[in-house]
Amino acid sequence: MNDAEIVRRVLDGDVNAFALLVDEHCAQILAVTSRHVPQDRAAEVAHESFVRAFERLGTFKGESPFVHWLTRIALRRCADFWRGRARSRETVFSALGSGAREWIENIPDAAADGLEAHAERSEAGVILDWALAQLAPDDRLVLTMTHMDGQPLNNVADLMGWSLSKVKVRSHRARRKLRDVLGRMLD
Amino acid sequence: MDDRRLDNIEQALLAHARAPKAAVVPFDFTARVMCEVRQKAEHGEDFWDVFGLVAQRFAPICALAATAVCGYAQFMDRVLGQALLSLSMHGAGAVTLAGLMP
Repeated sequence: MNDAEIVRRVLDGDVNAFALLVDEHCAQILAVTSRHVPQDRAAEVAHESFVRAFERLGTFKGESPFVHWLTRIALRRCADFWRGRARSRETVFSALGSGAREWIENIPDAAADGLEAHAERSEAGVILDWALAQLAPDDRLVLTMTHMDGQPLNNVADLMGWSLSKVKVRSHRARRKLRDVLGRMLD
Repeated sequence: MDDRRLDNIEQALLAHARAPKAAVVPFDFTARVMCEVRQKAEHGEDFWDVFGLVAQRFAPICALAATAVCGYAQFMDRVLGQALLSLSMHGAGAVTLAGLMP
């Protein structure tokens, strides 16, 4: 039975059939949410995404694969998560602790000097989370998808519901904003 | 600002972000989702049951009230239109007429 048939069953009143969709797509949706929100909140956001999908199942037209529609809902939930945590933007860099400062101070001059090993340290994740938190939720999403996940731009445009040119512009601007945030951190 | 240093920090952070992250699905994930989904479905049905009952019970009264309100509005519109026409024929200025508008 394909996704569209399961959706039809759920809409006809067989609520339990929705479990088939959850089982089928939970790994993929969790992979999406874990790229965009902190690891310890990824399952919670994925859970909310499935519940939201159930509530809006009647709006699924079947024009695109169900998993695309579901992924769009998950991405919107991720953006909502960061909108709800706007206060985290006010966190100053110094509040991240001495580990983060040390990571910045000891950044190697070149890749040959162990830049990759430096990137694998957990402090990099802390600083990255802090820097991304300074961006608007949509900037954060598009930056993560294009520059970090390396997704094709037309795929990002499809998921965000934007035109291709808008994705290019927003991605470029988001990268520049991230660089500005890092620059201010060094000043 | 040291541009090379900034470049290196940016590259290191992006490299960190590109590293694969294992997402482990909690063992009871589907069960938890379905628990909430079933609650939503039951509450949703409850809501529409109540909505249907209330709509059936109050539909005649609402229809009568809406008809009365529309009729009253049309009647008052006509009365006001006639009053303005009458006053303008007796030489009332535009400012006076505008002041009478609701």
